[in-house]
Amino acid sequence: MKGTYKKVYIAMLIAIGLVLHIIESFIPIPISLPGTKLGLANIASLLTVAIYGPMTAFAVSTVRAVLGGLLAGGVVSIPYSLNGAIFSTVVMWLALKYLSPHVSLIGVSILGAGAHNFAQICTASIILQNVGIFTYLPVLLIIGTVTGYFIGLTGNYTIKTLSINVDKYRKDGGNF
Amino acid sequence: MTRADKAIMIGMMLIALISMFVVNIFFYGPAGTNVIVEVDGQLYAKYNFNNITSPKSIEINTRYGYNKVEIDKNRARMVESTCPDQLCVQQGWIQKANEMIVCLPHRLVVKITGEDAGVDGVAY
Repeated sequence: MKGTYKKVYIAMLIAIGLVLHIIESFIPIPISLPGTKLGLANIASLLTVAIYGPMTAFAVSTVRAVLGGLLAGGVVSIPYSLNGAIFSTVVMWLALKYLSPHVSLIGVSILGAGAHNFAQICTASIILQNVGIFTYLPVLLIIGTVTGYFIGLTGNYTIKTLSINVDKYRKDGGNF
Repeated sequence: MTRADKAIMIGMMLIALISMFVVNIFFYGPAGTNVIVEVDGQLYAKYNFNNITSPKSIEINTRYGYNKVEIDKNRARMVESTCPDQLCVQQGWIQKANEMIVCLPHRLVVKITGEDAGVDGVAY
């Protein structure tokens, strides 16, 4: 039974991320700016980085990006969300590691959103062979900061409740 | 929300707004002279605004999909696309030099360029 709790929790986090990814595609956005979305699915990545650290977060965000692309959004969107997910996980982990007592999940999430946008634009400029698309980055960054704030806020509230569970099982000697 | 969070948030906003300002001032020029259609980074078609007297539709069929571009006297737009998100169609008209419409699923870029000469003027 060793590590079962951890496996179940990781599976749950991936499932949460996937469901949010699919629900997100049903929510209409009033402004039509290409590439902008709420990024609800990043709640799962954010919580995983905060609880389990980078390696597990890589697994969660990679699986979520690939499956999410197959279920909603289309196969063409997979390279963008995959690169965005990996790069934003790295940045969120670094932010947690080096800025941790000073920033809450809000700051971590905003930095992660910025990294996600940057990676997406890089991917798009490589696929289209066009550097001019970087002029679109500021627009994405503004939207990303706003949505990143709300994702971080959600993360802050969720982690309080979630870490009670996690601490309880860790104290019981579970390999969490 | 801690003070560092606020600093990060304000910092990101400032970077974005300043770079937006810089792009708008320095990158986008006045009205352009040519429309360029690129697929996969390769030149697909090029039109000069001087040769266009009435609105003209161009149909683009590639292995990624079908697009229809409309070119007016001094502006261009995407009229139709078979891509799932339709973002390129929603973007509307572009007319300033260096402005572009991107259809990511079809790897298509429609952009407007200024004068062919690279240098506006040289002073000694």
